[in-house]
Amino acid sequence: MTHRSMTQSKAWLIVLTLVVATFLPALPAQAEVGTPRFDVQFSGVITQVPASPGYPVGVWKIADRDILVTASTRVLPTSPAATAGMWADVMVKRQTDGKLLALKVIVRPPEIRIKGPIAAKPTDPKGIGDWTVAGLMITVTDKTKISDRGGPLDIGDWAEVSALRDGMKLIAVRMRGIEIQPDIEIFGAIEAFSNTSWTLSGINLAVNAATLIQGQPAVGLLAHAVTSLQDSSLLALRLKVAINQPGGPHNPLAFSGTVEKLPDRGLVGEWTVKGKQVMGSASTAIIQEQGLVVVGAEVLVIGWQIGERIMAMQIIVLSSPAPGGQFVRFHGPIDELPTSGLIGLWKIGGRTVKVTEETRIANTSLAKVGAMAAVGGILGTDGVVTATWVMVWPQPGPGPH
Amino acid sequence: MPRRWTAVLIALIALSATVLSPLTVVSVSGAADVSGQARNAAPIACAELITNGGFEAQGTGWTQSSAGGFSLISTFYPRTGSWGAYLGGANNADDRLSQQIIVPSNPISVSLTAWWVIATEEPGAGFDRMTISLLQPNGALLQDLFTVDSSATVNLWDQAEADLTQYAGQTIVLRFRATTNASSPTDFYVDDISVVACPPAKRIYLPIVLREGG
Repeated sequence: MTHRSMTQSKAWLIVLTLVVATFLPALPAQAEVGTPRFDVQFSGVITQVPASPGYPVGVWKIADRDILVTASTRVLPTSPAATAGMWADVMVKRQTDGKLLALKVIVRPPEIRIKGPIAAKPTDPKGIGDWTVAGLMITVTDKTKISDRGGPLDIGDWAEVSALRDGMKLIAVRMRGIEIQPDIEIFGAIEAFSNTSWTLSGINLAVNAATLIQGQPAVGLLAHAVTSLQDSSLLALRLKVAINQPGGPHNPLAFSGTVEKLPDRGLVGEWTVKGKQVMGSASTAIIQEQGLVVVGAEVLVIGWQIGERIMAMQIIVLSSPAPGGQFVRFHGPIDELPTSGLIGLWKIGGRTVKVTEETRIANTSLAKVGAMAAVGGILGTDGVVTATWVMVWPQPGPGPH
Repeated sequence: MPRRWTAVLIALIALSATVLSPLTVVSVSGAADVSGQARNAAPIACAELITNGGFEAQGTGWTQSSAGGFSLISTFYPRTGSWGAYLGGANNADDRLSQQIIVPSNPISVSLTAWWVIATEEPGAGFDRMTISLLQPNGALLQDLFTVDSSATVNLWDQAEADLTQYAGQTIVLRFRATTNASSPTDFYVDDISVVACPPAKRIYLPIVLREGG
């Protein structure tokens, strides 16, 4: 290259630099576009964070996995700093050397979440003291935030509680009234698991062959359990581990479509939805708040693929051609039962309830006149409620125990 | 190319780029390095356009309406401090929280951030939702910026972000609106809302001198 051409090259380089330097700052700040692609997304317990002043950059240990946090990792929030024992929602990319590089880390307090019926509450007018929710003792303090916007918080009503563990006690951070639900829910950290029981944040759950488990459990991962209160224990109907690994086993799958075929009797068995084989088990949640399940109904199926079939965790009715009105839910004592079996007309809390083969009944062995029951169903124009679920409480009395 | 034409070309490009780029022309004191590239001298003073974005002054600065008659500023679930916004949480909710903003005419960037979290009784479908929108002062919709529905992860604070730079020089209304259907309500909690406008950096270009044999 001649001296002259080198000079010209320098000149053009400067021109280019100037143009770039001038125009680049004029571009508007771009909002985050889409979600970065990840290899694994999971939620788990933080057991190690980089010591200050390097925080948050360095190696974190979350759910017993080493997670590399770099300057390009989005950590929310950075203040106050995460500490061991807190929980994190992590999105990671697997490097060629096998290391897990964090794209995003959201740190949150280790709040155990419980949705369940209130069986006991203190007499204190501010609610301070020990409550029994979902069969668990929950301590409400003067720092607990309480909201009754979603429903009252009396015995027999339902509450959602966010609680922190203090030794063996659960201290409520927030408690709010919610609508009566068909099942009890627990969200916590997996501390132990086997074929017969799991422990989530100190809460023991029984597991049986009918329990649907989505995701590979591991100690330190968070999990959501949908359970039934049987006697004084919680039986897990569905367990969902907070891990999403595209291409992995039991990877979450969701699709919506028209119901083309239902099982011959009841809702347990093989369905055909949008041409796909869908298995509904006794533990599958069939949510019929927008209408009853019939052939022709539009549903959302959430589950996972097993060979040619889809194992359904939830089937949610989006719309239905079946006649019906508003979805209602209430609880009260069982006043009357059919003369034979459980299919037929019940009277609960003075209201006529039609129980069909499609109705899910929890604790059938406890169904007797005088027992308490909660009901969800579609209110017909004749005033009869076609029950989609009935939950009978383990013991008779003024409310769930 | 003759040297004089190269120098003229450089000067013309630098000048036209500075003038044509509307967000870079500001008169602020500054300095430049010897290479001719501009660098910022004084710190850029960004301005917060939201009043009481953390709700610690409760309803100050905000207009609220609730179909259920609830106060939307609550102590129930703040992200920071003692107060936050609580929309939804009941069936058939139509809750709105809004604030009018005057966006300066010459910022280089205007950025919205807002923290949100949900709690829901919906079974996994997105029947309930909260939308962050921009409106004209007369209520006409300018743009929906962000929507979260009841299928989102519960109990996990996350941040919504949006670029509002295109609204420079306008008076706009930032609105949070939550609607729920007739059953299984969803709570939408919002806190630490911020709209930050940053002025352009000051740039000064020194003449470039090309020397043969340099």
